[in-house]
Amino acid sequence: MNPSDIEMFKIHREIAKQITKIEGNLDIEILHENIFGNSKAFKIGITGSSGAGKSSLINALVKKFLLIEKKIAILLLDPISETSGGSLLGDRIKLDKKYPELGVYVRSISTHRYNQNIPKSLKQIVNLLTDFNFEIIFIETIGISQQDADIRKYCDLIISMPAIDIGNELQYMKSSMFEIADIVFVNKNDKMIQNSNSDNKIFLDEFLRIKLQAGGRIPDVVYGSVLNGQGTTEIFNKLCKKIALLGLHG
Amino acid sequence: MDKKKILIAKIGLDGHDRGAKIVASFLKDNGHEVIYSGLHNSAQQILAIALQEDVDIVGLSILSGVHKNIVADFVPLLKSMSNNETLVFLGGLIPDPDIPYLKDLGIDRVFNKDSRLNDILMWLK
Repeated sequence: MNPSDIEMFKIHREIAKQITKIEGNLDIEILHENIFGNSKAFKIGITGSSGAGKSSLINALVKKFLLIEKKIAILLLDPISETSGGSLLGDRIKLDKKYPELGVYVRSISTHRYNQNIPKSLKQIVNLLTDFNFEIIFIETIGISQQDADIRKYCDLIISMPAIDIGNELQYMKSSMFEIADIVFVNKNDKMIQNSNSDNKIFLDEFLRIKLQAGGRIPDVVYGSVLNGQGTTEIFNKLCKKIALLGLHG
Repeated sequence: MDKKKILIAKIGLDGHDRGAKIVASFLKDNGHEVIYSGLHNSAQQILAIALQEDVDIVGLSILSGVHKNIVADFVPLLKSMSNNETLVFLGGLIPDPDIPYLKDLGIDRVFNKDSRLNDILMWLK
């Protein structure tokens, strides 16, 4: 293994040890206390049902951010089993294997459903990553538990990915996903059209129409297919715009 | 119960992972935090995961017969990068005569094909 890789892995290990301490609520030396909004890292929340394509979207976006040489970290939140207390942290396997070697720091974090400590430790973890000069932080979570309404506090922008065969427009009206999202990315557009789940598009359009008429806020909706490379550039551009708007590290 | 963070890892071209998944599932059902690496990783890639996730233990699964080579590539490096803190156990098709050599390289425990899942659980305590 070459020396620069060894150095990088040593740093990653140091970061990892600090995060373990934060998770265990042990005191760590907080190098600078960041109140939300002052943190220089741009935090992107990705929420959505299992299988919607969150990891695939992250892969596509990380690829683009790496091309403009951003330093990236990815936090993968996975729930703990209510029954056994154990967890199978399975999100990592879906990300590109090469990330660590490219300097991307990836960490799986198991979360309790209603644990009050998680939001606080998430903030500290983000502060820590900022101290280590990470510029873009992805936070991936399933987005069905109560926990995820809190995600808003820790992200500069949230992308939600709904399941595509979801019923009818009432399901969308009930879901809080649209309340918290800045961008809704409807993945697997190719499948929707193919299986005449284009009904789903009708439901979604109907829901958005209702919301608009009721004076509600609607997020940006992007239709696409990560598999076919559609929609991801549009999302990337929106992210870059937001980064510029927030005045974060050009 | 002392909950451990465990990486179940496959290194190399060996494409058989049902055993690894069974162990992963079993350990999760018994309260541990488990990460499964998936197939076809290099030693360096597994090292990276182990370090980034700050795992307590790596469980290596090798059924392809190249365990001596893989362990030689991976374990000393992991031990040195983790300050000897991370433990490594090995499962798969490991002939008994190979075990002393593997232990010399740093393997903490071998679970051969006659082992029971509970053996792993007991060892973890």
